[in-house]
Amino acid sequence: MVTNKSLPEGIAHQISRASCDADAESCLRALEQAANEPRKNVAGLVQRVLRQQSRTNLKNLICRCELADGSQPTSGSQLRTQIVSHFGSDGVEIYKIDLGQSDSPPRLVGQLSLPPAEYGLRGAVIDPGLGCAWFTSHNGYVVKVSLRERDHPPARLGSLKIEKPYNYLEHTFGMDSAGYAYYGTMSEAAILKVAVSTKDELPRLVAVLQVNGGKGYIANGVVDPINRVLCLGVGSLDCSLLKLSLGEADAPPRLLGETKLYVK
Amino acid sequence: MSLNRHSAPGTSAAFGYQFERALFWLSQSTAGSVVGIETDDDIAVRTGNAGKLLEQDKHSIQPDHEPFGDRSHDLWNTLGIWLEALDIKRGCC
Repeated sequence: MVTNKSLPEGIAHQISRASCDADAESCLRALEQAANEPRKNVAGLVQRVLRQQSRTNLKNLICRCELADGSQPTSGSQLRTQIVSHFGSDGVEIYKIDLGQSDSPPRLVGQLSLPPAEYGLRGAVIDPGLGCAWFTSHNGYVVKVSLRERDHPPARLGSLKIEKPYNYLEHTFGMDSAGYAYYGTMSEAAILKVAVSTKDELPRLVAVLQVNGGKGYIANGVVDPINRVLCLGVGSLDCSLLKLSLGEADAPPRLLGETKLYVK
Repeated sequence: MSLNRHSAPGTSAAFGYQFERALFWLSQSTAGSVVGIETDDDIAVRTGNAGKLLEQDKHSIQPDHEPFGDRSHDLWNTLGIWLEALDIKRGCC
């Protein structure tokens, strides 16, 4: 018997504690007492439960019943915490792996756990020269991480919070040579241009370009830093390849052209 | 927001509760177990060693409602359902 409500002491609790014949007898007496003048919608059930022919089975049943009520984590956030603690949540862990020279096997160097709010890691751009990476979280964060020295685990430096409606960061398209990273969002389809050029500053959102007025669907995309273009696959039923200029400095990307791929 | 005669928040919450309880049992059960919703009971867990756990769930959004109270329909109905199943299984009555 499970409920989200906290129950006062009563027969259900007594049944839950019963573990031997004497306990079951005691519960039976409590049930018989509660059966006096039953309500109309219970009268038939009372008769059925207390039927003499079923007494042995009823005592067996009482000894096997358990009650979990609202004083335990039977519902709500406490229940969900129990579930999530087993299945895990959408990732907040970043692992640094030494891939090893030649034929040597990869080796875990260390890991970084981001704050719970920065869950849902989807991708990253990395600047090995600067020693930093910028990870995207599906909960609306661009998290700046220091790669640190060879045998040290990575360290979090800070993050940029992306507000609604562009908070569902899903795609990482890449980085240009001018220090800008390009990300794609779900729900409200858009390209975010984020300045990530310096070692000391946190990432900064500089421009947003909606795809098909925000109603489109971005399948994926890739930055070509040499030619300074971004190619995007968009649409699900009506699919196109978009070619965009990355835009100079803080200017947003600009559509250069579109090729229709197929219509379902 | 006021409720109209087509609203059923309690029923909806109780329905959703079963899925949460099923997920809970999926997270707690050993490999090979099978968790059912509205099969043998509200929630039924069949374990790999032929064991069976049955769960009656009573969710309420009413502040004063007391599921499984001494004289409640919930308590007597739950006992009645399980007792019926035991009687049939053991060839009693």
